[in-house]
Amino acid sequence: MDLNAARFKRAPLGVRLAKDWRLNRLAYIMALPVAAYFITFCYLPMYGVAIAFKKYSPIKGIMGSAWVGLKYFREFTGGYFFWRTIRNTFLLGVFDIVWAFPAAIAFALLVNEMKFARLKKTIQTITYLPYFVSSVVIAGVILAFCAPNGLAGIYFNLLGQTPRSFLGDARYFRSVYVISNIWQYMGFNSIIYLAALAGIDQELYDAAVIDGAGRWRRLLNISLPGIAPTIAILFIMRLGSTLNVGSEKILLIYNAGIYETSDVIATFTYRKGLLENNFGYSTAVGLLNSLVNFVILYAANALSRRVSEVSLW
Amino acid sequence: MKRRFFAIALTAALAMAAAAPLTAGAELEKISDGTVTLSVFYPFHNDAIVSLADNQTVQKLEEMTGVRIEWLHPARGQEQEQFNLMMASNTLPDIINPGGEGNQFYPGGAAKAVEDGVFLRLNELLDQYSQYYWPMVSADPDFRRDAVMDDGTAYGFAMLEKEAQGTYSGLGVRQDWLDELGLEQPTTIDELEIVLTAFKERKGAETPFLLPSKGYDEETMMLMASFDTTHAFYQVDGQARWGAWEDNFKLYLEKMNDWYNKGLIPSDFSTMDDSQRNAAKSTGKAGLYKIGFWELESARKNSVDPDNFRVVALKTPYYLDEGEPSLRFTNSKVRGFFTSITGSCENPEAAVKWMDAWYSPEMTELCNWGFEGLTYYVGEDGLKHLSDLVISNPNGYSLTTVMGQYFMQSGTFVRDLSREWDIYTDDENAATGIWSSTPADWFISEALLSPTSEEGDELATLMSDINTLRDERVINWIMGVEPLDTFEQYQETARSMGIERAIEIKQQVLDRYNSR
Repeated sequence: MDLNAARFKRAPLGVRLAKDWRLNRLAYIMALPVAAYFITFCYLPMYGVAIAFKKYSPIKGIMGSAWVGLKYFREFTGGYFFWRTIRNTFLLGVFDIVWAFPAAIAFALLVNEMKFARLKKTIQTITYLPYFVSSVVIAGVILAFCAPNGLAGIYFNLLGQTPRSFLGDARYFRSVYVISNIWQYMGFNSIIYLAALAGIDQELYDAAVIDGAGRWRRLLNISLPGIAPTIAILFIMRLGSTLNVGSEKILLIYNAGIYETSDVIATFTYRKGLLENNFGYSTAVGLLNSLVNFVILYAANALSRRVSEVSLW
Repeated sequence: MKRRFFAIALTAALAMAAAAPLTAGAELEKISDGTVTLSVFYPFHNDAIVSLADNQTVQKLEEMTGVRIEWLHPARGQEQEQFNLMMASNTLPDIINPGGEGNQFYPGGAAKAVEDGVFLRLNELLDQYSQYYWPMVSADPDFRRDAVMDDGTAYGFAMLEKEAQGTYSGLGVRQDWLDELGLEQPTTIDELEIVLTAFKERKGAETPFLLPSKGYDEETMMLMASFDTTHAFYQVDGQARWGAWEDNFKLYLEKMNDWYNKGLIPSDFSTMDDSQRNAAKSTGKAGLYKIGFWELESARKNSVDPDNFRVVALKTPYYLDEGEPSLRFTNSKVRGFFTSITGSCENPEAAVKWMDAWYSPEMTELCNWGFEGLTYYVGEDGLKHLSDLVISNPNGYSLTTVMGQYFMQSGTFVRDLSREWDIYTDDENAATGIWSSTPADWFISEALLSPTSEEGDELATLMSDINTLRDERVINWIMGVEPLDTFEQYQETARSMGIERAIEIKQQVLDRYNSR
């Protein structure tokens, strides 16, 4: 009787936890640093969003500063450049997803097909490299390429025009940004796909060869479906950071002449909020940015769950 | 016993010998018998020493006053952050020196800091304890105006200059080219264009005028001042104005656009970095550019043709045939470094006395010149001259570094810039005078104004958008991406963004300053 009751009634949480702890002690210990990281750097600082609603002064602290409500949100959304910064941020984010996201997948598939191990390693190392270089150096390289005596000069000479800088003309900025992003991140982002590809059962390929499938067929019918769940998950996560464009890079390469296409939320806030010590304003904009990102992420996840049954939660 | 005595005597003698060149001049009154310690926050960077505690003049001051100092030197670039951290954790030091001309550590400005009790109001303390600083400030109308805020509150000890340093940078022109081509120094914009064209056609200067990357120069306002306007606020007979939306600003833009089309300005001026600019100067691609007086000689040395190369200061030309500009930047005799005593200081009396000691005749001597026989000597002309240790340091240290080792390059003392005359060439010493020969009646020294925190907030909110608008349009107009017909529409936009309200606020602030 007692035994049966215990079987059907769920044990109290404490008991279940204690039991689980005994069973999976190592897993808990390994998860501890990760949990500590998120608690310390993501959850604890969250009370700081209060700054968005206050006229923050460091000496008075968050609690002591005067409450201004939605003042900074109104200032931002009512500002003269609001729509332009939103448009620029959104477009750069979207173009980056459209071009740079598939680039890493294509690259991983190509590398996966390579037969010479040494060449494969060399190519991978070379393509990872830009990822590990500091943005300042990357920006220096981009500026040099875009200078009239660099690649830009060659391009304009071919068109029969006077050489000028790519970064002196608002029309070229988005291309410069997206292409340099592909160069910077393609190699590194392909690692996770390569790992997924390595996990595909070799027997599938062998069977396909016997059935007479060529390389292209194997790629389309085995490799790609094999990494499809990985692609879906990464795509949802990428959508969640659509509005997080690489603002350090933009800050380092843009100039006032091309604000029309290059001034994004983060750079605008940097000029307005941080250079003028207006912490409340920058926090308000940051909060708004995160909210939009969250909405996009949530929508993408819901859509994906319905369509492909792959989802983050 | 005897041996021990001998050893002590020898050590003492050695110590005295080592200290001998450093003990000169009269002694200051002791502030404490060595029991008082003050903490001082001071941004300080030096290649030779890590802390001001190793500076010989500072050591001498400690010896004379008996006050021990705990120096807090924030890492370069993290001054504001560390100040904020100190405030947030309520661990302010006794004394805060901004280490430069700005005094904006406290969000909302110095007035707010005094109001909030972060910085002490010093007037009463100065009346009571200051022997040197306060009497000196009170006796000189320039000091009196600029060393305090609008309402007369003193919130810090400032760096004072014996003579105001005039306009230390401006336009530099290749004098050797002018001589070779038989041209006079241009005094009007039309003449300047003739000179630039001659540089391009006959001297092979591809882009003779190095226009700064914003399309204007914020500091010197060069060539905008030629058109009686500027990019920011200025004053005419006490009336605040904002130059960048005035009709004269369009004249400036038209001229720059014209020069851009004629190839007198680099096609990529908006994206050129410092190294590209320096290369253009040294290889003779350019013949007219912004330069500081201290850079004239090094520009020659770094050029590809140091034997003939000569760049000199050019007085700002004017857009009309008659007359001269009324606007240039200049400096007050009060040069920032407003060093405040904080609300956390437990011994304000000692802090004020210690700060005051910096302005004593003894410290003025030490801070400016250091030690006779070491950092300076008295020449046959009976005047003091900096020694080779300072001017051409055997360890290869720069002037600023050596100064920071033995005396003071800048800081809270009475600075005498004449000490530096030996260091510079004749062209360099003449440059400041040439640039300063135009009137500066229209100049507003933003650093000396004291807006209230409400005024500051509102101005910042309005101006950050308006400045973005201006900077973007200026580059596009000069490059011809946008036709200048749109200037009127831009004026309207600036109006709708509240420029008139901004001018109104600036006027209030300016009125208070002008009536000090």
